[in-house]
Amino acid sequence: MTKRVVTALVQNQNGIFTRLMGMFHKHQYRIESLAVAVAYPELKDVSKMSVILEVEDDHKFLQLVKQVNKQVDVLFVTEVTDELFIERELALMKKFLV
Amino acid sequence: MAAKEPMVTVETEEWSMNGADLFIQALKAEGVELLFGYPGGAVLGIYDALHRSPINHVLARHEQGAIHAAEGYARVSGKPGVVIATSGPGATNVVTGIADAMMDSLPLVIFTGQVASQVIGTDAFQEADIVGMTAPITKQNYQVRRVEDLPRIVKEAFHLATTGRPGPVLVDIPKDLTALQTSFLPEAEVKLPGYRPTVNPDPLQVDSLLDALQHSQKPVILAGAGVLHAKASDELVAFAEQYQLPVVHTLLGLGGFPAGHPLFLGMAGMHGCYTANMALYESDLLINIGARFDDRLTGNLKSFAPNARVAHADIDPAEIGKNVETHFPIVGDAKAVLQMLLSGEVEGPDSQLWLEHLEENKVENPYWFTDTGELPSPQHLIELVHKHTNGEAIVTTDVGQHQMWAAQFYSFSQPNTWVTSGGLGTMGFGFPAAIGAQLAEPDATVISLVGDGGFQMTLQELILLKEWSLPVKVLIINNGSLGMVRQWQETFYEKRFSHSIFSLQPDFLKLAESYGIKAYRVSSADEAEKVFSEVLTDREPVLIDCRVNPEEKVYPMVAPGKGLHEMIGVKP
Repeated sequence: MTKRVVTALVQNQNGIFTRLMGMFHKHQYRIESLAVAVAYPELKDVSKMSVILEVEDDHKFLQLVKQVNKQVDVLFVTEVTDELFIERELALMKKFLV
Repeated sequence: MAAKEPMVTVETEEWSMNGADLFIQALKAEGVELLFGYPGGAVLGIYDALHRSPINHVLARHEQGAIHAAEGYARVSGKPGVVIATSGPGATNVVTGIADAMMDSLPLVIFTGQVASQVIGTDAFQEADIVGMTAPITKQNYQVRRVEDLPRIVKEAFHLATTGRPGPVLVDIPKDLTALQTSFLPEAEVKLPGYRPTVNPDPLQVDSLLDALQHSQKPVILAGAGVLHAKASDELVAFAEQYQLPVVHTLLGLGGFPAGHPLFLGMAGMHGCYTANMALYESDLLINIGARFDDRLTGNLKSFAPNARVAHADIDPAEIGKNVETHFPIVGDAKAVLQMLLSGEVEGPDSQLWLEHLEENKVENPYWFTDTGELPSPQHLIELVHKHTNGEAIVTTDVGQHQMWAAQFYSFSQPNTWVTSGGLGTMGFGFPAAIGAQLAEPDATVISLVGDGGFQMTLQELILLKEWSLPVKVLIINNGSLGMVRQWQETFYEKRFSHSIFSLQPDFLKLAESYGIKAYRVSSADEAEKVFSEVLTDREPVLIDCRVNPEEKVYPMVAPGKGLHEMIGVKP
């Protein structure tokens, strides 16, 4: 099992995220982390999606990436695991003062 | 759903129309002449506009019949099949056909009505989230949110359905939009930045394939339905002849290469012929053009083409390398690929020994059947159908034994004459598909080969033969059972025939009679000869209930989990 990070630039319309989530499900992937946001303030229709998955079989995973890329509303998809990327985590903590 | 923008009613100019008229206008702009559909509450506005338009509409008796007819029409004509259904149950009834078209890459555009925008998401009467439901089985789908988007979306839907790898596109239209007054809008532009199918192949990949071809000793072409979609049959024949390459077809590819051609080996796969399967197994260079290495074709992947270097030409890059490791990936339209292969003049392979070996296999291992039972064997009847239609008919089938026998024994020599449900394997497909095929080719002889099981799934469309004067010939290969299920139960489940044998059947002759259609029953090869010679090519619809030997099985066969070289039932 290796961790893979995929990012996709999509046109946020026609239920593209339903399609993509359905596709991950169809290929039996469990999503570990998912983030979606408007990619550029001046292009409200374009969103960037980042997904982290646990991957067993690299061949099957590459097939999934190709299937994602095939979607009409997907502009661009990259597997960034082996590239330089920024990973951020947010932790919320509650402190009890006694 | 979040608060909606208020619906804009565009200022009514002197010359105005409503959303439904705009929709019909958009269909006309796409050259649509024929629709298959069924009206209902959410599409009343569209049907009202249709009433004012010259577009023909075939009123099926069930939405599933409408969509399979549209598939038959698309398969034979190469034009998109267009379907209209209402919201809720109308929309869910076309789901099987959409999945079928997705698997077999048929260009369909499906329009569904939706409840009014204001009540979407409230579980309103006849509401179903058809866009959500069909996301995994459509190439793309839309819900129209603003009436002014309609022309663009319709244009995009047709563009997507018919270009690249064809497939079904669904457009969901809320009822209120069809009633909105709108002024005439200028012609729409397709705006699809994420959609750029690669048509022309990379010359470097084609060159490396040609280079490998020169050095191969056992080359074989595997040709799929991609050849038919690309209208590339002539190029395929020319390429095979130029380098003397034997050709194997997939189930859906049949007709792309003429069956009578000396280089044709037959269909490969689970019920393909020995020669074709062994050619794939023994080959050292496998050239796949427009086939997707389906599991029913490859058998066990571990022993598929173990000695071959594999070239795979496909318009869909996601198919390449999916199931079979590929050494020469070529993304492109089959016609463009074959033209490029033809233009590169290299020395052909020295494959004389290989061709002789294959010819020997062909002579020694033809398809076979015995004719010993009281009732005629179905294979014999299909040979008779071939004889009495000169092998020139359009043949549509359902799914199961009769489908495999048709693929084996009706030798197809022309493209687009074979209409069958391959990927999804949809029973009930064959008969409505024949209706669509006949509407696409009014002068052709259309034979609908169906089983007694599948026919009973969509036989309500019989009335259309009468209504539209369609001379479809319905041949029920009647073994009183779900033959393929029965065969597997016999072979792999120790003859426990669990719910595969019908204890009661309708009288198909009386049924046909009640629809005003001539009908015959044949119970012997002689009777079949007589009836087929009289009615198969005349211009009347007819139903023939062909009683066949229920014990008959489809052979040869690659058992599940086995490789193509491990066929059983190759010889009697």
